[in-house]
Formats: sequence, C-alpha cells, structure tokens
Amino acid sequence: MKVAALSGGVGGARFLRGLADVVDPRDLTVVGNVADDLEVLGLHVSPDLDSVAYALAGLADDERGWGRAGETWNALETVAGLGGESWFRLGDRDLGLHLVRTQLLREGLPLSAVTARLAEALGLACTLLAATDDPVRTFVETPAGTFPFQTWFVARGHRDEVDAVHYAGAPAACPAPGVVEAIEAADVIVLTPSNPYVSIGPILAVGGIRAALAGRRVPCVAVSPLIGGRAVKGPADRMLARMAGGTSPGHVAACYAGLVDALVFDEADLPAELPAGVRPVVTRTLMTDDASRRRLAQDVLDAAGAPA
Amino acid sequence: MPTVVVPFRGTQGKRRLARLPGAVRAALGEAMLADVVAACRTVGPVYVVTRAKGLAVAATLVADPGGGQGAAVRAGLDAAVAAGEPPPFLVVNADLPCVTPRDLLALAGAVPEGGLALAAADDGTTNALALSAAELFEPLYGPGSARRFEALAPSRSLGAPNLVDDVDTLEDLERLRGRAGASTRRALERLRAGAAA
Repeated sequence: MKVAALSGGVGGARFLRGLADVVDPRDLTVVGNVADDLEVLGLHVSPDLDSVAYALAGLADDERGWGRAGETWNALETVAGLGGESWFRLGDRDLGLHLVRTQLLREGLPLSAVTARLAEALGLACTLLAATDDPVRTFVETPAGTFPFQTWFVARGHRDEVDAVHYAGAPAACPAPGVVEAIEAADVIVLTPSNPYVSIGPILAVGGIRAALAGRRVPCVAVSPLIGGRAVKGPADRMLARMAGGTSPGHVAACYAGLVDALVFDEADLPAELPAGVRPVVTRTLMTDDASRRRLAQDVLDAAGAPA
Repeated sequence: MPTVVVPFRGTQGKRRLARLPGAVRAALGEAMLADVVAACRTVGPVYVVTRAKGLAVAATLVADPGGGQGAAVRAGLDAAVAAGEPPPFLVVNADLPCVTPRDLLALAGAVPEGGLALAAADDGTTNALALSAAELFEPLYGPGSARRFEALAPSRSLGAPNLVDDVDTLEDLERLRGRAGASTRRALERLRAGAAA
C-alpha cells in the first residue's frame, strides 16, 4: 500500500515514525514543509525536513522535542562568544548537516535533490521530498507587527497572537519533482498531526499540490494536532482559536475543507461535529512511545480503508 | 507578504558606464531593472520610483521627488504604505541583475523583530534592505552606508552573492553575465552584436 504524507516538523515527524513502522517504508513518500526554512550564519536550514529526517533515522531528541539526540553546543557557544548570531539553536551535529546542505545548494542542486541525498545518507528507507524547490517563506501577521516565521516562532517564542498567515512566493512555486506523482500514485494520503497554518498550509499553497489533493481518487485522512482542544506542543491551538474561531475537531477539519475524507482525533475532543463529508475517527492520539505511535498510524490506515 | 520598493535612476549615476553611448546605457539600465522587477514580483507588490516617463515595467510607478536615493526610497515607501501594502518592506537597488526570488525571500525572512536585514556591496554600500516597518527607514545611503543602516536597529546581514554583486562597470556586467536575468543577457548580446557590426 502506497502512502503519501504531508508533514511539518515535530508532531508530524513523531507520527511518521509510527507510520514507517506499520507500512513498508519503501512505499512511504513524505512531502515536507519548506516555508519555515531560513538562512542563518550563512547556512540554509530546513527545520521541518530535518525534524522528519532525524525522526525517521532514529536520531531525534525525544525529550527536547526537536533537534538531534546527544547534541552538543560548542559551535553555537563559540558563535555567541564572538558576537555572532546565536538566537537560532543549532547544535554541533545538526550544523554538520546544514554545512553539507548549504554546500550542495551552492553547487546548484535543487533542494529536493539535496534532501534526497541527505535522506539516503541518513539511511531513510522512505522517500523524503521538499514540497517545492522554489523559495516559499511564511510570514505571520500579529498585533505586534508582521514577522518572518522563525523570528516570531523562535526569537519571540511565538508569544504574539496571529491574525493572518502569508506564504510569500507560494503562488509562483511549483511542486518539487515527485510530489504530485506521489500524491497521484498513493493508495492513502495522510495529513500528519502538524500545524494546519504554518506546516500543512504552506505545502497546500504551492501551486498544484492543493489541486492534486482536491482531485484525489483515494481517501485522504488528516490527524488533528490537538488533544482536548490543546496543542501538545507549539501554537496550533491559539492560532485555531483566533483564526478559525475554535479548537474543536470541526475547526481543524475546516482548515482542510474539500481535501480530507476523515479526521482522526482524540477521545478527549468528544463530542465533535465535523463538516459534511468528513468522517470522524476517534482514538487516542497522544504519542509517547513506539507502541502509541504505531497504534495511531494503524488507526489512520484503518480509517482510510474503512468504507465511507 | 513582503512589499518591494525599487529606486531607479537609470544609469545616470553610473559614471563608469559613461563611455557607452547614452541609448545603450539606458537600455542596459532598463534591462537590469526588468530583471530585478521580475524577481521582486514573485515576492510581493512592487513599487518603482523613477523620474523616467513611460517606463515599461510591471510595477506601480512612483514619481521620484528628487533629492537622491534616500528621498526616492522614502517616496516609494510612503506610496506603498498609503496603498495599504503590508510589511516587511524590501528596498532593492535596480543594478542587481542576478537577483532571484530566493535571495529576496531569504532577506525578508531574515528580518529580526523591530529591525532590518541588509545585503551590502563589496564596497560597503547598501544593495538591498528588508525593513520590519516602513518608519524604520532613514536616508543613509552613500559610502559606508551598510554600517549606518546596521546601526539603525537590530540588524542581520545576508551575504547572498546575487545581492552582493551590483553593476558599476561594463566589466561587472560581463563578469556576471552567466548569472544575470534574461533581459540583461539579451541587452548584452545586442550590445555585442552592435559592437561587432
């Protein structure tokens, strides 16, 4: 069974670990968000692609929730000591990957080709695709001003409420090679439990990806990133409350109007009313270990296989 | 969505291009502008500030009030703000024929809170700015301006080659030809064909 999964970073990456356990990873294609990429210290950093790659390679730091396990911070401390930029937390091991990515990009390789090479070197059995090779950057509009995504998320600790999200560059961007093909060849499409506005949203904003999803002939299942109306991590709940008017499964499903056939959400979110055409699938979505990740992934596959 | 202001003086200020006939110089200047605007349009709405009349460019034209580049940029920013265009505001010089949407979005994405990101030329002048708010701008152009802009507010500097490489001489253009946008390359080809004839 071929699976295409659209994913952001941390929550999505955690879910993908379970998914790669319950399907043949060679049949899994992950389309990753690149709109929160940034240039820092002369390096091109792709936080979401890296979170997915580290998670699937078994290198992620589960406790901290981002970055690599066994990380050290010597380079960043040196940078700070020299008066350089140290607001974006790049660990020593992580830096190694950004060095290689940046060099390959400077040699003229597109981001998707660089990502494929890094994924292979990390031993990933599934396919990891950048959503697009074209530049797309997320900007958030807040009462305190408009910020580039990482300035708001990291430097300001996402403390501002968000009134609107913009995906600059997206209208002109094309899907990276293989993205639309993977969606069209899939038996199941999955929207991972990532932030609908800043993780899945910018993938769908790339010309052609939303259309490929809207024209699907196979089930598309979304997993809510909220439990009991609250985000496990990050600002998804506050963003939904302000921009969608609430944090119920119905509000999550409304973010994906016309694109999903089922929404998987936690039993803590019952009772729930979903838009017409979206089937509720109630389970436990908190992923604390391999077993809970696998169970959730299996529930998602079951949801896709169940008769509508 | 970022908004872009491009001040355009033609090649008036390019004394080192002066040995070229006026019409050729003007064509090169407009070709570079066309490439810059093409890249900017992917990023957001574009305002070109110029004294030139009837410039054929896919952007909102703003009359250059005179008084130099700082005044021109101020006029462009004021026009964009008056039209309700959103921040961040990019200010991109018209003599950067290699610039791509990727460079511009990287610059806009590098803006710190309440501050600015900039790309300096090798000589310490300022090739491109990204401002968190239009009010932040001050007319600080001239020799060493990158330092002065950096001192204005929290700032980050981006060394993207396409934003660093500006064109002051024909040699600059020849050197950058491989990376330059389509309009500039065509203008250079016409220039060569003209020289050969």
